[in-house]
Amino acid sequence: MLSILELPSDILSQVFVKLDGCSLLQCRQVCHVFADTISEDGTLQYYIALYTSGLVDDPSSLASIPTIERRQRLQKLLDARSAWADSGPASVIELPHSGPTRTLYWEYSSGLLATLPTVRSFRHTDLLSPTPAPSTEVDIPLDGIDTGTFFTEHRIDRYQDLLIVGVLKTNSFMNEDAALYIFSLSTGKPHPDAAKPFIELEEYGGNFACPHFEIYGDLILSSENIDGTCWGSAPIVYNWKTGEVVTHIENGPDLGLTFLGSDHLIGCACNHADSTIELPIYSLKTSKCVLTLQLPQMVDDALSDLESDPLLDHRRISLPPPSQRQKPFYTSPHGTIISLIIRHKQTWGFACVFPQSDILQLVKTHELNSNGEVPVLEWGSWPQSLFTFPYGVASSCYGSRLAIATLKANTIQVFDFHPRWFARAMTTVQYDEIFKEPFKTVLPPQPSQEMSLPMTPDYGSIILDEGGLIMVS
Amino acid sequence: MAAPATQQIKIRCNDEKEFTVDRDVLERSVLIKNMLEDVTEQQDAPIPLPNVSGPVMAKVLEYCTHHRGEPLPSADTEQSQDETRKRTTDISEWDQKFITVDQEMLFEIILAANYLDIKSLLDVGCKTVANMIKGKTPEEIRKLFNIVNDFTPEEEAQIKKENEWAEDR
Repeated sequence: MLSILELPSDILSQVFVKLDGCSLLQCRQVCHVFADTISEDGTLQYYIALYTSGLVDDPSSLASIPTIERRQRLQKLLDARSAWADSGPASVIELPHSGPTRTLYWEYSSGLLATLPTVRSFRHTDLLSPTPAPSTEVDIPLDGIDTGTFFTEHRIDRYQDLLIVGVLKTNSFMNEDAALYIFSLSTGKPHPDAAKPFIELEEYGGNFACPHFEIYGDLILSSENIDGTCWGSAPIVYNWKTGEVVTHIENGPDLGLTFLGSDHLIGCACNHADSTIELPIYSLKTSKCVLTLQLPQMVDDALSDLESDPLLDHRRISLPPPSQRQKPFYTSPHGTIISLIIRHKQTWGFACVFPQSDILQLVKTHELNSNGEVPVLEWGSWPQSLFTFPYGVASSCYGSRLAIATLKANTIQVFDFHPRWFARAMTTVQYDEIFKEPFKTVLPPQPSQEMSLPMTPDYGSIILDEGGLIMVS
Repeated sequence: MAAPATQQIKIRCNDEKEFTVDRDVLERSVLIKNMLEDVTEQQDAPIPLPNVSGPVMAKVLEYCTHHRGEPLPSADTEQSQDETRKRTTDISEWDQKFITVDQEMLFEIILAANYLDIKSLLDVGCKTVANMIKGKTPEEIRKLFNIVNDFTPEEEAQIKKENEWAEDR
């Protein structure tokens, strides 16, 4: 009888490439023929590397990245990861950078870095390329929306090979147009899978700020102003392939938000104006809220210590007296709480970082169960008192990993969030002299890239990705 | 140069079984299409297909007949990457029913599709096998395909360890 093991290995590869990441790992354990087929196929290895990052469930659904041979990319990625684990010294890549243009926003994924050096173009750079970081500048076609602009703002976001550029245009009559352009990061061209090269945000209403948006898989979550005031915004979910609206999210955030989506659910961490944070989680099938997580009360007590902080005066922000705090008070002297959603496969974590304190909360929850409910598995506070944030904090999460940079202690810490160990410190990076050269920092691990990308003063940010950590300050 | 669609072509399988088929049906196979294009004169001798048996060819012809007239996937690499990207659940109802056969026939069809260079059929076959594997444990996969576990306990432990991170759930 003809057995599956008699199929040529290239056919077996064609079978495996259609599997989700979990099944691929199972196949590796079946027998030598399966294991060898997988280990000898660069594409499958690349898929596994992406899958184990915790962010990608089904690598076969991903767009391929055709610019570089996959095996080379994989090798670089694995090298970066092992160096990352060892917290080795930084290797520095100077990014090609022409002139004194200000980088507005930037994104990094799978070795591809996208920056917006001007409002009319983006540049993409392949950091995993065998040759030193080639970069291409691509013009953004702005002819899809209203002309007569005197004010423009852009943002970008990416998901694997997908790059979305958000454009806001305001004409002299104060009318605003916002649109999301859909590019392939690797080619710099409009993405071939999108029905339309851009999505026009019809309900967008003006606060002179480009909508925030996030991509997950086929979905774009975009926060759109609804009432014309500065803070009210209503997240809307689009399918970028069809350009259609999937769902509207009610009770959106007032003061910034973080999105995360998966195949079935969308989470949206909302910082509200009344200093509360909540995380409504919506089902994509029914468009209904299936769970709303709120921060536990314990945070309130810890923040009371801040009242005597001299920095409060400096920042001209005062905390209301406790008697006037209707709800747990979460606003920091910086005015914003950084809330993040971390994901490891089907498990989500919700982390809140409080500048000026050392509090970080995590909640563990799973995807929809068969009853259509999302069970909350566990609340956890940060395992140790690791942080002091008197001068600021930057953070970034990628899949199951969360990186937090604190300026005072000169450290960046990276944590793994995982169903088994909940959260554990993975790497702590010390950096020095950050204030000496404020625009020229830093950081490990390999192939960590030093970037001469000028950013606005007084603001640092970090990006965490599968290959390592990037910091710009 | 293009022959009329009604032209009949004879093929002979490795078990001497012969089929007479409309040319456009046979041309779903890129291998046969190229063979026919190389032959300028009308030939009465059947085309020998030494790698395919009669019962398997009958199944393959059933598929080709159903899908006759559909555009062939282009050789363009971008196109084939798009194909690879499609999820395993994307099997049409007819194809699904067609491919519901025992394992041996399934593998025979895959081999034949590979040999005859019928991309869409190869894809359906591979998707079907992938769907059979999905969500199963290594032991279940071995049982399904009658595979012997040829790992030493040490090797098994090593792979388990490598998988540990991603497996936990």
